[in-house]
Amino acid sequence: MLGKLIKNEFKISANSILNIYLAAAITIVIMLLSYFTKITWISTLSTVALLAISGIAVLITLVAVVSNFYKTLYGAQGYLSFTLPVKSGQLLASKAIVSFAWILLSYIMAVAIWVGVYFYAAAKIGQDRITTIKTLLQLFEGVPGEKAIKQLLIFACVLVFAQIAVFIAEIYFAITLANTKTFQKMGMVSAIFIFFAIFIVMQIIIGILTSYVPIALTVGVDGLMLSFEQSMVNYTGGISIGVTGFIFQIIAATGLFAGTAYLMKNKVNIK
Amino acid sequence: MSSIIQIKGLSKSYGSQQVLDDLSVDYEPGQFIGLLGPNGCGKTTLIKILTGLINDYKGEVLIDGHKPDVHTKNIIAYLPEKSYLADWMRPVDTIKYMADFYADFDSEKAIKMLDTFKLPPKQKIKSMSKGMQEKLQLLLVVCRNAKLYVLDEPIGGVDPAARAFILDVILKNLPQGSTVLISTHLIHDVEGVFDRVLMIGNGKVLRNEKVHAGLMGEQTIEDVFKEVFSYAW
Repeated sequence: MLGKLIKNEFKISANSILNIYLAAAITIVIMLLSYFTKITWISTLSTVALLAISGIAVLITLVAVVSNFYKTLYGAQGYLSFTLPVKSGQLLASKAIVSFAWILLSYIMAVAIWVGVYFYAAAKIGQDRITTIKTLLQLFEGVPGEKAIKQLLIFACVLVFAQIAVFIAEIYFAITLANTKTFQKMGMVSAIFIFFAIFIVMQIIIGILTSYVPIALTVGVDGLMLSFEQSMVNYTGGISIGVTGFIFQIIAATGLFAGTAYLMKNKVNIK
Repeated sequence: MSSIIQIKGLSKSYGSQQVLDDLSVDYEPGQFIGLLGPNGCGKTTLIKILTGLINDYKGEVLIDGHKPDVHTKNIIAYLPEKSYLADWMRPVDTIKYMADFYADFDSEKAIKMLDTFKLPPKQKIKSMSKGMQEKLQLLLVVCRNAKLYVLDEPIGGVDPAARAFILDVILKNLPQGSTVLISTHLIHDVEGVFDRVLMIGNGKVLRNEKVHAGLMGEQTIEDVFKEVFSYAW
């Protein structure tokens, strides 16, 4: 059933998201054509448009994720969703997985557009950007080592994945709690308040935890290492990245997803 | 025979407003049950509880021996008052959707019925009239071979010709032995088909009786309805 839910969820969300990707694809084609035809004003215009689209795509995806979750569960379509013969956990999982995929795709597209525009601009003015990047990397030779760079890249990816999951967990919980008996009278305004309340509380907890449980990743020649140093004064090894907040956010997101599933199963009133 | 619907001491409130108050009923399968009462008497709330749309209530609700869960959602075909289909969908999409989730959904019958109902298979729902959307939702419900059909005001807000059409579709298409719970306040049009009526008012059971040929004792259901709910006006 989860597979069927995911398939249908993609169909539903694609309707509101795919247009922006289509706009990006058309702009890229115009940009490439202007490169070969050497029409400068079209090239400039399409480059600016593409950069704008990269930002708009992320924004539209986030708005679509929030609006789809609300509409398909707590709007009129909720009558269909909540009467399907599936567990509420499956319903939630399918929505979270599909939202995650769309947000990640929009991030990847935004990064790819910026990198692409960078290389496009370099090619237009005749610079060899690959050599420049290699030279830049040589400056850091030794610290961090190649292994550390790879590990850092993996960590950065995990960090992005986690941030997306945390955002989805916070927004889903806020919307769901807003549709329980206590908050329903206030409408969607309560969802906004709940979302910011969760966000602020989590930041406060992260601040406190970071002071008392200082877990960090230190970057050395031999790769990343865990550190539990209370103060950075004693640390002379190079770059250090605090991960206490990151670990807490993962735990909190898991709790928020579990809480959302519980509310969906036991407390939600479909209007 | 085990009950298809068993409700004991069901209460539900919205804030200080008590919508259902210690309601208890027990129905055997295979009946056509009329859920009657004036607007705002708790019919839709009761239906939402039975279908699993409302979960925070007091008391016990069992459908085919189960609390509202995956099993009960599998055996209930529900027609809500509202239009619940996504506006980008087309009738063919809705048929595929239902076939994906309900093993008892008859896709072939649904495709044939699109023609009978004069519904273009590839027309988007957002460009359909309200009447067309209602027909499509009705079609999706009657093409299931469910144990229990829960129909919330299926003939409310339509003209007499449409009412006759809807009732005809319901009566001709539902499988033998299934139970139908139909909420309405337009009793005159449907009283001939009821095996039993449940009248609720102020959240309580006011009458819960078997009927014969549209009669409750010596009176018609409509007469009893007028008598029971005269307080509301």
